[in-house]
Amino acid sequence: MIRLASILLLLTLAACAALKGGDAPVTMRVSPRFAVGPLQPAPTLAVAPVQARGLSGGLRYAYVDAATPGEIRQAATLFWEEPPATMLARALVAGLRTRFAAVTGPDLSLAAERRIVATLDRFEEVTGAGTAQAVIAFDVTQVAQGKAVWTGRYCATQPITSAAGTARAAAFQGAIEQAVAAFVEDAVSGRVTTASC
Amino acid sequence: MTPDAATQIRWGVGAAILAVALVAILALVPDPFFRQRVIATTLDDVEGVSPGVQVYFRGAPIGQVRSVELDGPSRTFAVHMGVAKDWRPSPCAFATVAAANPLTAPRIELVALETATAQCANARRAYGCDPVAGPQRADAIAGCRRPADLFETASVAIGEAAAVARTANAMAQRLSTMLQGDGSGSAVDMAKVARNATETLAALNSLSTQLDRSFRPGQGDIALTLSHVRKATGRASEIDVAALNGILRETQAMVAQNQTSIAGLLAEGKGSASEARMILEGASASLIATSANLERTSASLGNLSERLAGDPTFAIRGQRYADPPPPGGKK
Repeated sequence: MIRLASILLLLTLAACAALKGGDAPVTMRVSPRFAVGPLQPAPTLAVAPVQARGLSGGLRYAYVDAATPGEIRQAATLFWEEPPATMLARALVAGLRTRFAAVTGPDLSLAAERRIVATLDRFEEVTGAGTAQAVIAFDVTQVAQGKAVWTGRYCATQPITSAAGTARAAAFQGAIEQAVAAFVEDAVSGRVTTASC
Repeated sequence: MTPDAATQIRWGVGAAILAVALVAILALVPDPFFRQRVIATTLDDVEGVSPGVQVYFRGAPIGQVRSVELDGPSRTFAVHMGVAKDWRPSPCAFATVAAANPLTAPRIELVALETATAQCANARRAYGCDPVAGPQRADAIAGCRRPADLFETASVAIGEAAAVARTANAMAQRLSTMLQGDGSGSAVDMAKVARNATETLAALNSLSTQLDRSFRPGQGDIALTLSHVRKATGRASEIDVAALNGILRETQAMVAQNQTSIAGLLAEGKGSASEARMILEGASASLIATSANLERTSASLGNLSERLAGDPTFAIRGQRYADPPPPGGKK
């Protein structure tokens, strides 16, 4: 009797495992917004396609455990709507357009006085001790007449308040807005502030 | 009355021989109950096609390959298939070896288009079937040329991308000469060359997109079987990935060069007709997308090859992912 019950239990477990549906993927979108300031007519700017370092460029959500900072993990069910490098390029264009009159993006490469060449270095969640943060970091070079005239590094972190996709997307959106806004301010003033990362 | 020992032995041996013969017939004769009939086709490439390979019709298995014979003079193969007796070909029926992907098992697909014989050639072409020229028997149906598999497609596409990039380069140089105003070209000529360049770049862009899609990790993993992965690993190691990557990098360099030339031409704006200018701006954006696609392809090709060479089961098992823990234990 016990043997039969065990077999039935095992069969039920196997059936449950087989019939359970897969995990539903969550695709996250960020839509950074920037406060509009006084517009500068010059220089004209063209944002080049953003290059991404390694897994930062992938659609799969990346995270790092603070205890093992050298290991990048990838989420099973969390994805970005578009590659983070594309998101950053879009944010750079949107941010620069709030302060410069003539800014074009990678999809319309017109001749401009300055080209903005950015490389996305980090776009990941850092988890540890019950906390989680969205971390982004990128390097920017401004090129004029074939020469690098200005180089800076920008980064930002924002706390992730819950495991929901919306909360994670909001944290990354906040981080992008913060880092890009800092870059835009530097681009307007012509100074480079020291990066905090 | 009991038969004598000799009679018993004779009957016993007879029954055993009969049983063995019956089993042999059932096991070795392809269609012991005459439920199939044999149809033939001609194929140009039978890699993976051997007796026993399944024959499908609109998704249903209806038979299997009986034999594969080389036809020396025509350098093609006569493939005989046993198919369900009640299957009837339409006036426009043909056979194709399905699965262009080397990672999935090959199978023969019978296609029967409901088209009159007069329109068959066009319908077949629209379907993507290029019939194999070879000896055709009265009871045979046409066989289609086998499409190149993933690796061959990628190699050819990389070669084509390099050739197209070279053409685009030549066109950009010609445009540059024209726009520099040496008197050799009118605005109409410029627009024509620019339009040609755009078409060429569109081809390059399409190829690069195809390459990127073919090698994007994780595609078609579910369909893989261990034996086919092993086979693919062999194929992957046969391909000189370094050489392909070299060609890709050169192509990318050419694309970058074109991009610079076009950006220069746009900046100069000297004597350029507005139509040519508009086309050049489009071409410039196209080149940027192409460059990104080629770079991703190069990286994906290298990754796929390395992964499969290091772990042939990688493609079946995939990679294990886990979501990050919820912050503060909140869900």
